[in-house]
Amino acid sequence: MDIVLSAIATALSPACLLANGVGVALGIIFGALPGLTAAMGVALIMPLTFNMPTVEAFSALLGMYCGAVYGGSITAILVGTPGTVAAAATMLEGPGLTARGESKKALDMATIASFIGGTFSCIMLIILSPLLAKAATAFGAQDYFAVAIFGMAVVASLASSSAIKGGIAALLGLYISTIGTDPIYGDLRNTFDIPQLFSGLPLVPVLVGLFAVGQILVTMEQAFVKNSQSSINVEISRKGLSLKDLTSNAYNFLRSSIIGTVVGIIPATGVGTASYIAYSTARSASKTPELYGKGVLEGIAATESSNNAVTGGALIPLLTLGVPGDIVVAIMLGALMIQGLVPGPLLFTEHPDVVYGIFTALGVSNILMLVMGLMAVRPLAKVLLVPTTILMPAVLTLCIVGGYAVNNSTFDLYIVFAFGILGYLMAKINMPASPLLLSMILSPIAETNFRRALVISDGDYSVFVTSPISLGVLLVTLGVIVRTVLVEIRTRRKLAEAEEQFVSDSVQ
Amino acid sequence: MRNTTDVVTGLLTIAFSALGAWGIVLTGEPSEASVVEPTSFTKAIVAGLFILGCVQTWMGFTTKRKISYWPNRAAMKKIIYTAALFFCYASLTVALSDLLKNTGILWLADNVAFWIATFAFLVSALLVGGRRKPLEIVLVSAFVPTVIVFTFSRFFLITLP
Repeated sequence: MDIVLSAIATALSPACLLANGVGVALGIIFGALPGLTAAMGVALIMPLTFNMPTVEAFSALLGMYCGAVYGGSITAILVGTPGTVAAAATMLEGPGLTARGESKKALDMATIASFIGGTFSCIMLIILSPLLAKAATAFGAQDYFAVAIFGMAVVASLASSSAIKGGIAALLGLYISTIGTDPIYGDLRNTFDIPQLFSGLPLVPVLVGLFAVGQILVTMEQAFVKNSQSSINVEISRKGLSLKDLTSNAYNFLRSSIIGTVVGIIPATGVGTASYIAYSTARSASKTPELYGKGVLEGIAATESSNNAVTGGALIPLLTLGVPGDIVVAIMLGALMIQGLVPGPLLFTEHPDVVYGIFTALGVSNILMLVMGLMAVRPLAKVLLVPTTILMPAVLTLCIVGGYAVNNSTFDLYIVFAFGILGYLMAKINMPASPLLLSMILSPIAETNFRRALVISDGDYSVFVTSPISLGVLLVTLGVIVRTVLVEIRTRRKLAEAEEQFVSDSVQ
Repeated sequence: MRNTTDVVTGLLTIAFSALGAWGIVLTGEPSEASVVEPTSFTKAIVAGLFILGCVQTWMGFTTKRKISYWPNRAAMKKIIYTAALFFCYASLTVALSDLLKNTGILWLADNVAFWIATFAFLVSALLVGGRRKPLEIVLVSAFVPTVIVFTFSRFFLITLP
């Protein structure tokens, strides 16, 4: 109990509160600006946390995460462009309310819904994590392998409209992670005799390249196509939310928060999936579904409470199993490792101070997000007026800093550049980058446990199907893959039929 | 060829799997006798990449959709310039940093290379981006590296390139 209290005190110390506050403010700005994402923000802020104590570092990172997921709603409501993927569903209702002069109402609803979702998932994190960590001590190497493979299969199938491209990205990530030293015997492999590759490709420069540089180039291209900064109106109306608006959505908040938390727990899913599921559930449960899409507060309440509920949910598999729940949390896994900590059940017994510090920091992030969202949304929205052609080159310079900071190696700057180009090209051909990064992170878990299981079983592959946990997870994985392939075939067939119909209509 | 992008994606994937196979060939014998050799995992990955590359190429030949991922030539040119500038920025930072460190003058070695390279990059990138007001360009280009040097190097004690 003393450890828990001391962890809470640490997370509430002035340094942690400051780090959390700065993280939330930067997160809201990153989320609000189209082209800047939560993943990019966390990747870029990570170098700042290297010299911080763990709880302070995670206060900043979690603040950035929560702030960015919420911040996307500001642009979705005011401009009709989602600041982040998380707010794509919010965009279906936000502009309608803004057009009716109810932007303040919509923004307040987004803020309060985000707070409720985030806080709900934080409570679930506190309740479920220790239980799951206890259960995870019974996990064998084969079970960890199965969970990692499940995570890769889910992200490859959900991250893209094309399962083939998702699969290619996941396999590329797996290959990249095998460059360097073999985790079991220490042999060098796939290094092409390049000395800088002997210790493998460093994670931070890779993710800064993929998620920051690549995304910045895509955003700049969009700005170049528009040729000039289109005039953006960030005026916010006066009339705020009434108590009735909140009470009438109480069940909606709860349901969407549960959806967000559950989606967050499933490895490799994310905020986008959660908000769409919550939105469509709210719509089907609504007495007036015909009003959806024209600007209803219920829709915003559903999407925003669910996407912020993912934040806590995604931390559950990360802290208990070492498997990230979404891409931002995958980046945080890198931050944990840089701090010298290995996530998993042992983290709860060896570093309870850190675990409970992280729980508290997440709760504080949500409170700070609520305060800033309700009180400072007007000045924060002004950041949308900064032209993309100024902002993006400035953020590119941060990528150089972020890429260099981990190892102080100039070779890493070229890695940032190379993966930036790769990230840009992947975006252009509709190949998602998230399976690549997630596979890179999950690969060592998958490979080490795969080989460890075989060593323990003396080369007997049946070990993967004799363990009930492993068998169950592998069967679900198989189900995900089969379903994805079937959906892909059906979609292609429908597309081909539609094209044939179009051609025959044109000929007639 | 009906969908060039898909075909090129497939062919590049096949080429990458060939590169991966070459990496496996270059990898030496394992130092210890083990149940699973170090490249076994990589072999499975390379095989998977090859198969998916072939499927992607075949689908590119059979799908009728014609998709253009680069709709605007002028914008694409600017992106190539920006990417080239970013590469030059990284190279200039490295080269200038080495050069200034070799002078032995302490204050010159202290983030000056980063400041100069960032300033030069921002001036060029803002011009490529279509900014035309000289004062705005100079102010932004000087302000950003100054803030970064102060925040990262002085406040958070992060080593800059």
